[in-house]
Amino acid sequence: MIIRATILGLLFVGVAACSNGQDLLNRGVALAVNDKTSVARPAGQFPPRFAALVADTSVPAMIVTVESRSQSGRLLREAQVNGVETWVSSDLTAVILENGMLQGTRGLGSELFAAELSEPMALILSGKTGYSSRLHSNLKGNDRIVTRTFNCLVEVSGTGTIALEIGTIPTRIMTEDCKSLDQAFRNTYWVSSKSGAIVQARQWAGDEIGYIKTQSATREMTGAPVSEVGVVISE
Amino acid sequence: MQGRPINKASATLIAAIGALAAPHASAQSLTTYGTPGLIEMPTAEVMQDGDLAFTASFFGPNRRYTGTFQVLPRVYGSFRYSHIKNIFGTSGYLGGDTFDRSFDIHYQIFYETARRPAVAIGLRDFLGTGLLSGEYFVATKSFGPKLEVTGGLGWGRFAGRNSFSNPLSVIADRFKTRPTGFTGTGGQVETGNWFRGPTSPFAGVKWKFSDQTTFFAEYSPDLYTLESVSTGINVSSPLNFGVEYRFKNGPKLKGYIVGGHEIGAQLSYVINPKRPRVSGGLETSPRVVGNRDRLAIADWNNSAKGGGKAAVQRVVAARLSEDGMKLQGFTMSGRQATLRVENNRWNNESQAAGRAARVMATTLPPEIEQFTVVFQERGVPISRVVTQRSDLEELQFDYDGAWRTLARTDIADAYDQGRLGELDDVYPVIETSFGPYLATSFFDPNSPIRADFGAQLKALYRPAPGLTFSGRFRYPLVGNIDQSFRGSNSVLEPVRTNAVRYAKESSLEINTLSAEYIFRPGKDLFGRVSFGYLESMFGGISAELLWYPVASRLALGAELNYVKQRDFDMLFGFQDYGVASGHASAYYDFGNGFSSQLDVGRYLAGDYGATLSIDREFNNGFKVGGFFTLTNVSFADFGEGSFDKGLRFEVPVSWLTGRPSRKTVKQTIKPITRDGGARLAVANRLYGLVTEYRGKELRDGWGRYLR
Repeated sequence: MIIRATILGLLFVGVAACSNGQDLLNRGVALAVNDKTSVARPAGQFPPRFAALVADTSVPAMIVTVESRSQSGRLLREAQVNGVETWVSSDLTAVILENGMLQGTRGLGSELFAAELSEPMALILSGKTGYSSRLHSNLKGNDRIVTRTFNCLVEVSGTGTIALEIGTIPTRIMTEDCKSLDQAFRNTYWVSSKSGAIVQARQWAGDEIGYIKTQSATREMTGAPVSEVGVVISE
Repeated sequence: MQGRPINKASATLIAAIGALAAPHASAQSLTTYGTPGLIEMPTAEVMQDGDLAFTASFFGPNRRYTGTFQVLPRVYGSFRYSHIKNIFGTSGYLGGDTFDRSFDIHYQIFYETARRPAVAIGLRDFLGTGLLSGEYFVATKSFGPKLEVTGGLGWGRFAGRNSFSNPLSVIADRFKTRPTGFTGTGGQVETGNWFRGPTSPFAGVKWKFSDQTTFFAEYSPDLYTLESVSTGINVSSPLNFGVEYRFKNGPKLKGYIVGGHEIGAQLSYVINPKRPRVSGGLETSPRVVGNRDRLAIADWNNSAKGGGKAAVQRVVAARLSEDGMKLQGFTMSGRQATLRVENNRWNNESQAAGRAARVMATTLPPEIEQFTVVFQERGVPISRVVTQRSDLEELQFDYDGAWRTLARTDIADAYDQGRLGELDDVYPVIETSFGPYLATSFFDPNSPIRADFGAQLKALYRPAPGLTFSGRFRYPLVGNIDQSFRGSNSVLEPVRTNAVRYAKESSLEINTLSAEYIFRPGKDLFGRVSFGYLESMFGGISAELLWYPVASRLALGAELNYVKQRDFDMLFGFQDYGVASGHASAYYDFGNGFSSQLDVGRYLAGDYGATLSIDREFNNGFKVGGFFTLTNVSFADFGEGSFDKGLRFEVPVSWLTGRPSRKTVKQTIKPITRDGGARLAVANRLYGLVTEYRGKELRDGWGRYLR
């Protein structure tokens, strides 16, 4: 079963909710270039590294959507080292987050290899407006890493209540406008008013991949991912 | 490389590249000659550095197939195979058709600025029989984003309509006339003809209508004088018009009217080696290096649960195997541990080093701080990469992690590794494989591409490190190489020109059957002795020594062979001809993506001389290069082409698929294979075997160490 996120401009809850959640877990992300060789694995036939995470019910889950490829996947947290979290899908593609901010990707193509985020992170988590800079290192096609500096304006752009698998959560919405000499992007973060953590975000991962959306999710895999602008429908 | 002009698996390469490569955003329009320009006329433009353009064009009697490579930001070179139907009338050889190989070179003297046009100088078909030869100076200026105007002066083929006396004759009178014909047997650099004879102007405009569509109009002085006699080509108008459509996935289709009457079309495709299908690759995420103290209670490290060195070794071997590497040795004592590994997956060897270090960091007990990874090839230790565990822990997510880990890593020669810690079950290694093979032969005038397809059995037995017995047996099923009429007409010993006879007189063939010993005689030294049926046409003994310090850009080698020519049935027998051959070789990596090799010595036909090769190697392993050989055989005795030369390329399979693999698709293209300057095609020459694991290559690939 193939999941496609379609922007319909209205709120809609996925139909085959139960199989939908499980399917997101099974198929892996296979985000890069709509790789046709990556198909949904039969339930339970995971590589050992991922099977261990599925078996451990204390491991948290997250839903990741790559907008440009209209693909979603359910990721499980494999590791947490010094505040840096590595989330993997069943095909062992990874998204790396630091306090919910995109720190890197592995296996998505044109890697955001690593990022230095301390300045914007301080503003976003504390709900302050201000200027900051961040560094992005990209692994290029010629196997070299190129690091760019971005200057960013972080602003509070309002509040909103969003519906996620983990519940309906009141949030403060933060935006971050960034520019380098030749690139520009705008990230949006939904910071929970209760916990102070980023529970949903839309972040730029580079020219080729574009924006990645992350949403906190449950382990139950019964609900469908929900968002305020788009819809995930099955088939 | 040498031998039957044969190599496998590349007839499909261009198709594969076309199907898989990422579309290329901006590229120049290409002419019928496959070079940046209008319809037939060149512009002063160049492509992006490293671009490779493939073009097939058809109009009138002309069919041209061209590959163009942007060698340097200002220089491109082309190789072309052209077919002109009926140029010599029906009475001529091959029904009057001609098949011609030609080379071009173009140098952009000035790039375009707001006020100044781009200016370039170029030579078409400067090597060879000169059928398409012409030289030009050209200037191109753009006016806004849509319009580009070009004007130039041409000599040779360009000097047709409205020609005038050569302005260069103010320098010397000899510029007034252009010599006709070509020197000797063709294939030489015809400097004596360049920019000589009358001159004609040419001009044109290019109008970019949209991102997809471009229109062209040009004034061409080319009268197709030679072709117009018999081919019926009609170029009565000097004006050519064309339109090009660029498909969204990259290919460009162009249609044109040449000379007012000849309607034609061409298809072209441009790739850039710096842009593989998936930047960064589709492989799995590496293991995260976590808190090492948690590993103290892992089952394999816990003696209460049967843990210990043997259990650790099992886990390390299993995890390396998940990452495509074979554990061949393991030691662990005090604060350090060493793995000896054979890398069977990663074409970026630094990435293999990083993956092996991560396996250690996520498995070994917490007291182990220093990790050593020894890379082995055919059981022989080559280099060791030494990392500190705490550095991996600190830098695995660092934005400057690649550079910082490299600065803290020690890369050293592993000549003194001995057999310490070698696993008991590594030897003997036995490998067999059965599959198809494809052998190709190019540029036979009767059939430009010939091929044999058949079944191949490969077997390998390695009882000890470096000692390998191996064989390759082939049985052709279908093919047409043996139907060629090209026999040897060589005045030299026919060491290569009997390729067709080998194909005709063999069925089940012993392609190779040999014993080989590779060893480390000392620090920075590698040795090889090979004995047996070393290649399809020769058997005997070959010995080689290579000096290659681990951090050096320079390597020096020497090779001595005594070989006899094999029987045409390619079984066990030999012919009478035997020869001692050998070379002294110097290898140098310029550090800017270019590397070169100079071999000086004696070749198979007993001739003495030297081969110079230059390759551009992109950091991801994509290679494009060329070579030529000059020996004491005269150009006349050498025969067609005058001397041995060729182009070669190598494309990593990972570049095509996005998945790591040590396989490559490679091909050497020689305009013609003759007997002069022919080298023994022995397998596993040392430089190629070890260079990927020496310091220069490992450092260049370090961007993927943490991938």
